[in-house]
Amino acid sequence: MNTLTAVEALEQRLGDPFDPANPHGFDALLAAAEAHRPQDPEPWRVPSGAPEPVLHALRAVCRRSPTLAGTPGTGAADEALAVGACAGALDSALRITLRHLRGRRLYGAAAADLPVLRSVLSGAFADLLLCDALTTLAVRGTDALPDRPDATAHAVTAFVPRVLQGALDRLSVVMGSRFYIREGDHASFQRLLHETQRALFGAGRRTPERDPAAPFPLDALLAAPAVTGLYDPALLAAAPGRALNGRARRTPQPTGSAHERLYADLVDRHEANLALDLTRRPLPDRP
Amino acid sequence: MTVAAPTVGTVDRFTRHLHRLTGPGLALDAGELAALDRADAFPADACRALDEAGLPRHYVPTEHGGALDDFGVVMRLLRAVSRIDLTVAAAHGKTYLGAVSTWLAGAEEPARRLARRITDGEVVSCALTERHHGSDLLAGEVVARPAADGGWLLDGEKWLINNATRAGLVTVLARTDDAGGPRGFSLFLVDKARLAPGTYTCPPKVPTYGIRGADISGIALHGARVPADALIGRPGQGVEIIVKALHITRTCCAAMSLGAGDHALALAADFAAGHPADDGTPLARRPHVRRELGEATAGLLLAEATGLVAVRALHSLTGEMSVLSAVAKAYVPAQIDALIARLLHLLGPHGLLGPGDPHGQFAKAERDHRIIGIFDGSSLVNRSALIEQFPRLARGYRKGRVDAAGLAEATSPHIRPRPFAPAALSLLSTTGNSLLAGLPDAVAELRERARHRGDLAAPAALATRLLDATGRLHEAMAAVRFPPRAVPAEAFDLAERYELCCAAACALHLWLRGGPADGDVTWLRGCLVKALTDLGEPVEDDEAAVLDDLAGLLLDRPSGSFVSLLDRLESPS
Repeated sequence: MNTLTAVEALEQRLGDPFDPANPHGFDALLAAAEAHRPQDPEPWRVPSGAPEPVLHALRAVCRRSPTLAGTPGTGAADEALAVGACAGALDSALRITLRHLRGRRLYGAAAADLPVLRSVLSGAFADLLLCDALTTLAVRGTDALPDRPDATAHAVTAFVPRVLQGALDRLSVVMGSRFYIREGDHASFQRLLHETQRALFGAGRRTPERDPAAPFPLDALLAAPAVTGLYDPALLAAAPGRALNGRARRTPQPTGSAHERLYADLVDRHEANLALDLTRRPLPDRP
Repeated sequence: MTVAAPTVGTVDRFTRHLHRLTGPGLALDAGELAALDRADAFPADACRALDEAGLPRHYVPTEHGGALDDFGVVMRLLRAVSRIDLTVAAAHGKTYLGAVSTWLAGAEEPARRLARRITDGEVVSCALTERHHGSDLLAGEVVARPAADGGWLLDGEKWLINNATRAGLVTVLARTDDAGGPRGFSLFLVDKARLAPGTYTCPPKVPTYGIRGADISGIALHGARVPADALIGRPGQGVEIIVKALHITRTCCAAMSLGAGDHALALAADFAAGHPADDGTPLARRPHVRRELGEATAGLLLAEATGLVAVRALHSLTGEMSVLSAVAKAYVPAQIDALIARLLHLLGPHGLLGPGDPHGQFAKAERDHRIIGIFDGSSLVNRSALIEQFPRLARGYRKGRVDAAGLAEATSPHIRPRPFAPAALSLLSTTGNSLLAGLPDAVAELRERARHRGDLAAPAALATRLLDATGRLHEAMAAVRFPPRAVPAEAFDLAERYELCCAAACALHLWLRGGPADGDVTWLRGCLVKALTDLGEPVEDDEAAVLDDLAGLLLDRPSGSFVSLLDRLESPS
């Protein structure tokens, strides 16, 4: 319960990011970024505490601006926090994309009704769940695979960043020209994508000691009881980002019932203003 | 058929000239271009330098007094510019898109007038998209109505148009039939200087994620009267002309992607070669870094093979461009985006996104290049165009329909291409796709040659697997059924695989036709390994090791140069 209290207080303080009048909202952050105006760090400060509440508080900041989540330390736990926090940016990017597609008509239909666009959305959502599962394990210090003690660390330092960025990149394709412009209703998308890329791959990040693309026992990790207790394994299995583990390069999107369930869950959470990660915590966003 | 020596001369002279202009304080100085980018400022000096270097003449066909008689040349010129700065390339090259509809419509006098304006340095833009419709051209709301005294009255706004403000001439797509539809639109070449005051405005430049200096703006027409001769082609022909124009420009977009890819790969390789890891040795010596650099090189060569063949196909497989332009536009930018992303993920944390890149050129290439997959029809639009043609393509493949002469010419880069015949452009390909229908024969030829050359056994085995994957893919394509407007998402995955098969086929055809019979086969092996890997087909570890050899090509190249198939296909024999 404590988890939600701390992060909820922060969410309330920062307010609805989609509200144009909110001094901590997307429009204000964009204007500040365009003017190279630094933010007063005080409202964005994340109270120290147990790792998991800190993860979610950092995620609340990253929903608005990964840059403001600050530079973490370089220990393994800090790494998991910094990477896991960026799932917040993907949460926002999914909401922005969904809003954009619902407001746009293409070829005589609502863009959100085009199956290929829906499957990109459900795929990005599945990737968010996958990254949440892995970073939550790492932050909790759960030893899900005792015979592969390095698996979780590798997942967090090398795999999750590429899954998160890959999901953002695919969403940017769906956003099309609206991704590429720095003004208008959806201009925060490009800022979130850019800031996330810097947060995950900028200079000063911990550099993986071995091949970041080296295969690791992802399937075994996801089958561990610590994970299956968090999520429906069928949904995690549909995450396109799984293809980034090993040789595969293309990322097949979810199909069939996994896709249908993911998309329905995404729309439900968006309309009910619930976080897209495992907490399903309420957000101050108004649709 | 003659060896295209003048081609090489033109490109080399231009490239050397550009290189000289990259010196400190000159028009293409990296520091200067970076500063303009930071300020969202248009690279005017750079564009003027390209004018002075004679680039605009290459946007004008020779029959109208220009220098364009081989799309392969203009592609290489734009690639050379894109290696230096993509904002400059996109800003300058746009004039071709602005003009191409007039070239295609074929009327002599308007073409000659436009040719003169372009060679005098006029900027020409092309205004298709609107604020609420994006790529959906048939939803366009800009209208043109016949004026009482002849001519036309134009109303409405075009938005997110490259060079809309800077251009003196703008090709505008407008609705001329209230009912719309494929015959309901027409094209007009609008001369801003001849519009009555107050009948047009240009909404302000829109700030963008990349190509920040570019003039991405729009044009709003308020009862703007244009003379009768502004009409391009006949009324109602607008969509047909522009779709055919896009067959050309989408193909030529590969030039910009390849240039940006060349640039990013060279920056990454130089960084990895010079940057020590924690143990003091250069990053490039680490096996996984070397492997990634090799894979990126293979990706670039596959993209280059696709672009090279597609551009030549404009001349010799003209009727198949509805397929090949879609393949080139969907595949090449996506491949280069992926290449840049993987290099960024690998080397960013080591400093490639920061202090390791003094002018921020890699980061700029990452931002800039993402536009190529969006404009002129996104990868989704182009994949839709492929999916529409699946039944036809599957049939053509099954029946082995090949335009053998056209295919041989498209894949023989040392032969001067036949003149481009615009009348042969077709909204749908009647023959299918000769590149893939010709794949079984190409694989058979490689296997035959492998009987006499031991080092061809490995690529022949890879090519056999490619053929097998291509056959399975066409069966899956033939089985796709869907009602209108409900294309299943899975069909887009098939389209992606189709692009990969085409890219690999381009590499194979080029190797067979473009180089000497005893030519080095390393690059072909690398391309086949990369394509099979991307297709999700099994590749053995010892087969993938060829990527490390490709990394060698990249890391050992002469300073300031780029890895290119052209060096392997056109070196004097």
